[in-house]
Amino acid sequence: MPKEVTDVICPFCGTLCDDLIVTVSDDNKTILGVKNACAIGAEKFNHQRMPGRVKRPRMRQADGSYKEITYDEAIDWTAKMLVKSRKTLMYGWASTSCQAMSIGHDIAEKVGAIVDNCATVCHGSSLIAIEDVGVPSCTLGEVKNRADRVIFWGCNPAHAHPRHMSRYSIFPRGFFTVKGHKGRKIYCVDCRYTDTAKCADEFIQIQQGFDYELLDALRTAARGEALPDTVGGVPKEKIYEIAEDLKNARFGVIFFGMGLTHTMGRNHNIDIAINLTRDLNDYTKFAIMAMRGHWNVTGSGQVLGWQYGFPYAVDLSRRDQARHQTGETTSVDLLNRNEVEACFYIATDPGAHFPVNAMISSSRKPTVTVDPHINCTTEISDIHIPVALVGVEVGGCAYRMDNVPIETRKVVDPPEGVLTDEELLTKINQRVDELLAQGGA
Amino acid sequence: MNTVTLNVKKVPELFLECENVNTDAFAGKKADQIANLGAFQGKEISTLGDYFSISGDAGETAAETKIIINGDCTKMKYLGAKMTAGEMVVNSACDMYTGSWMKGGKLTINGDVHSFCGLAMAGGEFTINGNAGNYLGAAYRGDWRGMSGGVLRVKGNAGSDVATFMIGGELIVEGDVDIHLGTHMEGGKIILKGNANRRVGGQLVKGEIYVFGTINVMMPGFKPVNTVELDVDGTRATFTEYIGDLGERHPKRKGETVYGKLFLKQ
Amino acid sequence: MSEYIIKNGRVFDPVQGIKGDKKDIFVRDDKIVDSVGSGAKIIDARDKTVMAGAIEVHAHVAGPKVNAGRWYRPEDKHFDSHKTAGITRIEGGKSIPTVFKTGYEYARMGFTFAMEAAMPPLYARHVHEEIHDTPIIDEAALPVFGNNWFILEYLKNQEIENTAAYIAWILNQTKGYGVKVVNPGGTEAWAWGLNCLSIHDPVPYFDITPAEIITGLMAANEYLGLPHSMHLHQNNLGNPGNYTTTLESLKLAEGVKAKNNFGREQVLHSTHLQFHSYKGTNWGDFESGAKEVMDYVNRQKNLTIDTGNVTLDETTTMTADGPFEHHLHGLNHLKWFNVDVELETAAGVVPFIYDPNNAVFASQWAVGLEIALYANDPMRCFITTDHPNAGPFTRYPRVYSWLMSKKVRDERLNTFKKADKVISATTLANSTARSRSMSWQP
Repeated sequence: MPKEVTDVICPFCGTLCDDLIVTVSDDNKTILGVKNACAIGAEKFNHQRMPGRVKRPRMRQADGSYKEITYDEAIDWTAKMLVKSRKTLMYGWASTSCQAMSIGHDIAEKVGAIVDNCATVCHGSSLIAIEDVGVPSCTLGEVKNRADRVIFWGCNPAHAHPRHMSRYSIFPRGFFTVKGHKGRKIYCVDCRYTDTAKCADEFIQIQQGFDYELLDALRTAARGEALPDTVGGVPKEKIYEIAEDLKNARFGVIFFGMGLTHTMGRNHNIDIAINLTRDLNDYTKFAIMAMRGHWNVTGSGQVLGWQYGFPYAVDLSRRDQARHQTGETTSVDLLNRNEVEACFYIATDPGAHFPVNAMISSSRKPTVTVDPHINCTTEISDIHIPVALVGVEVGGCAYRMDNVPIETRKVVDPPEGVLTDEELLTKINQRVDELLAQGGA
Repeated sequence: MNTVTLNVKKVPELFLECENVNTDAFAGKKADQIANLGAFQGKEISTLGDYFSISGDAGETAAETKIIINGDCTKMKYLGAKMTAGEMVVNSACDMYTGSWMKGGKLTINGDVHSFCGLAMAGGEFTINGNAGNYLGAAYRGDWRGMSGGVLRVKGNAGSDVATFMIGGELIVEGDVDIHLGTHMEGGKIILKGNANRRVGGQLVKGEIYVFGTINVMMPGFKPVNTVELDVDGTRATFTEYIGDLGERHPKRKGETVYGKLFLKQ
Repeated sequence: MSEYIIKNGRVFDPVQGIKGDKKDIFVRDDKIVDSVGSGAKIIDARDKTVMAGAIEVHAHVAGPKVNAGRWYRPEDKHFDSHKTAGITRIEGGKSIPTVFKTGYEYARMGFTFAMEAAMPPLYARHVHEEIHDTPIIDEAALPVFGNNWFILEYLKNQEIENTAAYIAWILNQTKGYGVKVVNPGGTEAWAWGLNCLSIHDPVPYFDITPAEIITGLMAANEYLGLPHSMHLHQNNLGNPGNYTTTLESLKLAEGVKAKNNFGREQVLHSTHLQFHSYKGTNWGDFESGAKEVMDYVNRQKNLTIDTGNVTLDETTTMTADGPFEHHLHGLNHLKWFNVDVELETAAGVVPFIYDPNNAVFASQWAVGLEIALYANDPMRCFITTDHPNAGPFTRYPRVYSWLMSKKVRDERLNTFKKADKVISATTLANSTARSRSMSWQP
């Protein structure tokens, strides 16, 4: 008899939906169906039974083909690479559990590596902005229960966080928001008319690259100061009107995404949005939140935070101190400047997201990729080590975009003999210890 | 003043962290002791002697020490960082953090520098006879105390985020700058002889910015209030005086609001 | 069976009146015994102090707001990240040390336990993840209840049994150790940008007052017979004139009897009392209210307190008193971190520089010392810095020396730029006392 596993945590985006129902075969090996998930989330579960899944480590041969090797061989090769390299990039971590990260950091400290997560090409600019000016924020449940003004600025949850709008930000009826969508005023600020904009009560079309100026204008308008006739294509009358409406909110929230983090000025677009939020708190209650994308990237920032005090791009290469500087210890900069000698990628696919030059640089270095799937990065790696899917075949702790920690659920067994991230990293750590005790590789 | 000369004999493969190359680290040391100071390439620990041939002994104190460096320093970080006195001349382009956290003395770079140079500089004279990268004279991440003193002069152009969170001192760029000049500035003086890309003085609280060239797009939070004739860095000219950033919170002194000021040459 | 002897150390035990005598301690299976076998392992403690592990009763050492303070302040550990010989992990952070540094630094000072003072139930897993990664010392955490919707609803209807049942469920679910109350009602009001500055201010929507919340939670705590009393961070923290709010809150415990099987007599622990003992109407006429508050505490045997000593450092303030952190940010304009937690609480974080040249901060320093010096019963007064709010816990040795030596204390006092103002606003200069809680020391 197939059985239903309830309250399953979705392993895809930063929303970490926690109400999925997964139907599993009675031998605990195959997923038969997924309910409540969005199309992307469901696909994460469907991957589990995809034919052609790699179940043993593979090593690239001289002719470019891959040959199956044992886990022990892969672990030995990886440990030797880490011990030998003067500075190693250990990047990824967003699709694995916090427990696995913790073991990875232990390895990084011993071998002198840089630990970086995919915030580096995503919300890293938001993290720098928060480092600079702080952030007034809240949990997603607060938005559901209280928010009557919601602004989506440079983000498109309709595509990137498909259930965000129905669970938290636009449609749900909460304790103090019994009218649901009708009781909320939704703004969307974007340079394109997105599918999220279609759900908004008001769409503000902004000239590309003028977010900083428009946010400055909103701050200026909120203080009642004079403005030029238009800012970023928006007439000043509209700016005054919005500023006034935001001040009259009962509880407002700004959600922002790549439209702020990856356009001109990057972190400054966010720090001024945060400062607008801060200003509005002089009149009412306002919060701001980054639409964190990749599943447990928030968790990686948290674990790095409590272990070293920096949210990403943590340079442990000197082995006796931790450092952090966006622009220096960030993955893309390290690769472009050829500052690292080897690469260890886990639970994220830089090949699909990094600039081409960075990946060309990476492809010339000894590289190990740990990932359940074949992806762009595995194809330029010397070794690909497959592992169990975290959140599907093994549990572990993950953090939602609002930093709420959630224990994820195992719904099926991993394929026979396939290690989990935790098991694999523990074995690499042990092998590193042995090599270091012998005085190096 | 004693002079120590360093000639690069080996260019590092990846990069080299030279936090020991400054007058304070050299003070009181003979050439062979200087050669034994640490230099770092990731977890590989080597000595300055591995990368430089070193001649001359340092003076007793930093103030009595002059360092001259010749050869290719493009992959060397932290040159002259945290120096408090004395003199240092580098006849090469340099990498990141050159002259950062500098407190005193005189540092001259005869070449370009990369990002984070003059970071949180507190005193001394730092001259770059070339171009500078991003975050010149800015604050370290998260710190609200950026450049606080001294004079930092760039003969060429500078990148973006120049003088972020500046609270004091004087920073002169004789060429052009990219976006975000003097963001979050709370004191001090910036003089730009060339042109600025956008976002000059964003979230400016206090301090003065002088621009001789053009500003691509003015921030909406700036308001012209006056026309003044001023002597700035040896040049007399007529400027339009703006106050701003009006979107930002400003302190009050004796009941009067203190604004940041932007002077744009007419 | 494991046995060892701690040899040649100087032993301190205030309960037995042992004051630094050279003694050997015998241990078998984690218990102190009269003798052990000849095969026992010997630990040489020559020139070292041997004492029971010290206990931190109130500090912010693990959890979401602590970690926010860590990662959003890279400048707090830049140049301050290092590894010490014999230590296995990198330590970093001045005011908010990383978990590794937290464990090592407490252990270096002879501490074996620290209580995390505010755990939002929704974030309990995060707190425990950090506790798991903290080396050497033990940690536990107090979940916050003072602004919890269920609690507010039950108490509005005067349902003590339901309140107690809910507390029991939360303690079990979050693996919490007691009932923490932070700015009761005020933090819920903060969700609308408001606050409750007196214990009679109504909480928006919930139709209840802070006084009723405090009284109800005390009753529920005793109904359950928990090992710890309710742990209260009062309303109106950090404002001139707040000592009246403090006295009013403390008076709520009058006549409440402790009911438990642990020998506990107190029903209310009032935390970081220094921040709650101010007279005056503004920062200009600010004065110490330590005497008034401590006179009351000394009389009421069912109260315990901790001090919250200001150490005059650059530090990072963090509390589940969300509106207070917003207020503080309005004073110093440094970066403000806030997170409102649905149904439960809200926390804020703001860096803070207690500049000794500022008369107010120097007076706060004096108030904290006065609180401890006025305490008649050392067993009811704990020394804390409300780490990292009034200063990092690594400053305990300094706090102890200020308390134990009038000379050291006066030296500090007289070197303040505005010493006159501090002396006139406080009574510290007149105090010849040495903290009674320290008086057994040589």
